[in-house]
Amino acid sequence: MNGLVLDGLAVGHRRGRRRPAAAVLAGVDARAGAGELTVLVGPNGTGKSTLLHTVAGLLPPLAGTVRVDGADVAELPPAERARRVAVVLTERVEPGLLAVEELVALGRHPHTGPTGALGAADRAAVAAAIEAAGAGHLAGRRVVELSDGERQRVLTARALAQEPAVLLLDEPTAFLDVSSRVTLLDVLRGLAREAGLCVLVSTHDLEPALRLADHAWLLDRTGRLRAGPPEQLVADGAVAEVFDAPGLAFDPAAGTFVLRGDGGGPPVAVVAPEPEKALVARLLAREGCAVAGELAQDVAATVTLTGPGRFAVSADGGGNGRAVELAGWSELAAWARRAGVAP
Amino acid sequence: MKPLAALVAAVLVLFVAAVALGPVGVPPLDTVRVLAGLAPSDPRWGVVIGTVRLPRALTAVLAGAALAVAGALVQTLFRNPLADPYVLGVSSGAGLGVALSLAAGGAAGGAVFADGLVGLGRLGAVGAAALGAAAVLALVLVLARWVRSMVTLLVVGVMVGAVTTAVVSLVLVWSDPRIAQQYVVWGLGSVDGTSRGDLVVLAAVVACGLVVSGLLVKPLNALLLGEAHARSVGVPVRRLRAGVVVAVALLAGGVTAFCGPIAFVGIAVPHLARLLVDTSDHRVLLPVTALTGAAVVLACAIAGHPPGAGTVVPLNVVTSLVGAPVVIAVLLRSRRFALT
Amino acid sequence: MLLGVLALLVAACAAPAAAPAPDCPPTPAPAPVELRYATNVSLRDADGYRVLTVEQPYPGGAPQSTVLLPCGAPEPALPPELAGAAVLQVPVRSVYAASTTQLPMLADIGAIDVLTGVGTPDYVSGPQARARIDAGAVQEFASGGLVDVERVVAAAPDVLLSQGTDDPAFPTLRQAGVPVVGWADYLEGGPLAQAEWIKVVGALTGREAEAGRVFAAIEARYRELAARAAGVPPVPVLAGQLYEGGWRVPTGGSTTGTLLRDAGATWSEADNPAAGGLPKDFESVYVADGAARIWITDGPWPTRADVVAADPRYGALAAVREGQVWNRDRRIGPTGGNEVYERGVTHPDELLADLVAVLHPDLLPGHELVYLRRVS
Repeated sequence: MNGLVLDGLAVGHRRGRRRPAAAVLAGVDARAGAGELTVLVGPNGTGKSTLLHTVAGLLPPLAGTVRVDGADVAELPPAERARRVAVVLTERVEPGLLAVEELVALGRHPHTGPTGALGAADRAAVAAAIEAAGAGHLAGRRVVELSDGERQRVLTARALAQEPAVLLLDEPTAFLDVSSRVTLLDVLRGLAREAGLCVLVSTHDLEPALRLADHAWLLDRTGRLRAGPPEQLVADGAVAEVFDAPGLAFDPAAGTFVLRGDGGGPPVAVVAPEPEKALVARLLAREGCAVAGELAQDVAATVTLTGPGRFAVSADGGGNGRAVELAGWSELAAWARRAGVAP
Repeated sequence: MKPLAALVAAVLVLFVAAVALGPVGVPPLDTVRVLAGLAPSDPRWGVVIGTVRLPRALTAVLAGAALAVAGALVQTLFRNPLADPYVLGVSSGAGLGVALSLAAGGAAGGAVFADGLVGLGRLGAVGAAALGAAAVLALVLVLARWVRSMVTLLVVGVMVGAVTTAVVSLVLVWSDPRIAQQYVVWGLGSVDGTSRGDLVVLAAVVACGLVVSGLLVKPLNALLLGEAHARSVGVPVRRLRAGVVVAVALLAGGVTAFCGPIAFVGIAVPHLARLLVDTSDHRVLLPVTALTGAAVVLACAIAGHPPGAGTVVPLNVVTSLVGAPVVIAVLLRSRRFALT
Repeated sequence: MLLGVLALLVAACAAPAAAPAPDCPPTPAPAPVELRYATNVSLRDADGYRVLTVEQPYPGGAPQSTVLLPCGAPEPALPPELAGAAVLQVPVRSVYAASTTQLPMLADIGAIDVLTGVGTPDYVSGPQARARIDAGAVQEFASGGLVDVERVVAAAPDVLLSQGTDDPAFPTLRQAGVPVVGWADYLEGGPLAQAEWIKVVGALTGREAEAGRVFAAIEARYRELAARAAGVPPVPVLAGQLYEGGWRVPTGGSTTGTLLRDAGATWSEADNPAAGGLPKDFESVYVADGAARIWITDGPWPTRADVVAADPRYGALAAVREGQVWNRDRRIGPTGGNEVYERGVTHPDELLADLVAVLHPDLLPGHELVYLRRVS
């Protein structure tokens, strides 16, 4: 079977020969297919890193097996395993004086001879890996001079240079800024598709992950792993169960976390085109107002968009009566706060 | 490769200078004659060049190359720019061997107090130092099997070295003060006084050590990524650690047995080499480090026996005067370029 | 009783008052002591006492004076320059000797019985001192080289003779009432000057006459041997050996150098009047003196093979290849001490005789060597 298969896996750290190992997760069954981007999500402390290290072969499994294209990862000799599984970890790398190409070339370690000298095929693989990771414009520079985002790409290129079947990344977006985070996930998705790699990424960025991934592994605080397409996990309420907080709920339609409104505020109708309509609704919900549909009856007020950043608020259905002109989103927020408080 | 060729030339020039220059002025023509195996005009020049200067120069080359490479290995393994080959306890172990042999010689020799090192002769001292270094490194190797991280191994090595040094002090306190003084003399470090037989053994040991180091080049490069990434790329980290300890035992242990502990070469020369070739790739760095080490120790040996003057400056004094500023400069500039 | 008073005064930290002891041995009035060679020490007679002054009690030290008060004499009024000087009752009855050179001097003048402490007994080789140590009459007070203050204060000897070095214990001992005499005989320039310190021992023990006689005999024999050696052409020698990477060549003005010159030897630094040794390197020494066929040094090397084993460069020396190598360790005591540092210093005539016999065998046929041993 292609890709990654976890079968009855138990992971944890051995604490010496005498003491029993502490299992962080047990009885894990999951699959990650080739050509797919699979994300591993879950709250902190649930064992994502331990699971990933075990899948990579860096930690021995306490029970069960990890198979890559049918072969048991724990049984493989290190060089053979390195030809199938490549990892990018969160630990900070001190690259010394290495240039970008030299660092990426280290990924050819399982393929080169005893001196580590690169052949023509190796050099081609290095170039291809740099291109695929979107680090082509960084060639010739020293790694130590790069920004975090650029360095992450180079490390990803290094993993790609191993020409693995499975690419594992442990929190690759941890040190990145917002634009880099989104870009990296996109790059990984492209890699999975084009190179037919099985890519498994553990991340805290839930929203883009659920949006971009083909498959998701969800870990909850009880140590249970649920797997499936992201939409399935959302629809089943699994995501809500794991992540919902007292003040926030995962909105399946929006695909984001939204504030749980009390709903106790006066219903307000919003007349505006998208995306302003959604933005006004968000602002009103934050201030405690309930948002009703455009044509709803019995609304306490109606907010109408009259121009860029200009609103007209009228009470009682909007037909007759006074309309208050509000110039700017801040004024709208101030009005909503007052309205939300008033009975 | 330009820097490599320039370094080889520098080593040759320094070698010739170490043989041709010294407190006694030998005519250059006679120097050439002796080196070529011909008879010089005055037989004394044959002794000065052949018995005094040539062995010193050869020992300097071997000691410099060996200690510098050992230093580079240790700095990469422990990701520590201030690690030197003695961090695993090599010099302490060798010192323990020498101290014990001195104490035993003084006691067993029975009569004469100034016996010991001199009575056993050079071979006895060398053998004792080698055994001591090997014993300490074997201990570190055994402990390394139970140790997970490199930092822990570093601390273990330093602690073993500290305990050994303390035992040496104890041995010396309980012995004759004259024996303690001879130990101090050994501790000054010297590339003088090696015989032909010594040189053959030293060259063989250093060659073995360099060969082992050469085999470690590829995994050491991978180690630049950090231990976890190195393992993910297929590097057998435990075996790499053992390999480095063996290489350091041969290189630093061998040199210390014949020459006593020579300071600063192992810690400063790898940084000089990195400055020269501006890369962390060990395939280039190790040969360059070896050549730079040979050049540095040759230069220090020449400086220790200045032409014209009759004084002799102990080797460790010269290497420390050269090495300490280098280390300080490295630390001050470490923000500008990386240390490994 | 005097010892008891001294012991009490340890706590009081006051200078001991000199009460006339009832058991003063009858001694003739001491004759003035004339020191003709020694320059580091002087004995000056004053009114009712004698002043012993050591110019350099240790290298770089300031001159130190001790007042020698004859037994039974009243405490004198000391001039201001002697205000801080220790006052010592002579003849002394108990001596703590830190240097082995003091012991043959005591033995030669028949005063070995006042010896009650030595620094390190294992270094002691002279038969009389050894006998006294073995009989248990002598305490060890400086094992490991440093003076054990408590032991010395508890034993409270009349005087402690140092070995010519400074020791952090000395100020404490002086405060506790034990006078310390800085015995820097080795800072003298020549062998006779060093041997003349026997007269100081004589002054301390009330045996000035014996000391004078012994030294006169030593001096006469020394001069006679030197005169004989001066009559023949000098022999080239090699002196010194490798130490700490360098070779310290003795200069003509040092004690070793003087002995060699007086024995009819010559070497590269024979005409150098400086007192110490000259640090050189192997090459320079080899070129200057390497052809000498006689090498006199300390070693210690049992055989020629040991010489070469110690450092292969020695094999290039003519003395090692085809000449003679002599070590100064023929006379070793039962506990391993070398007598050349003991009696060899106080009887330089004997050492000179050995040197003359080695360098000019026909001048002293049938001479039995005492200190020099040929390396086989």
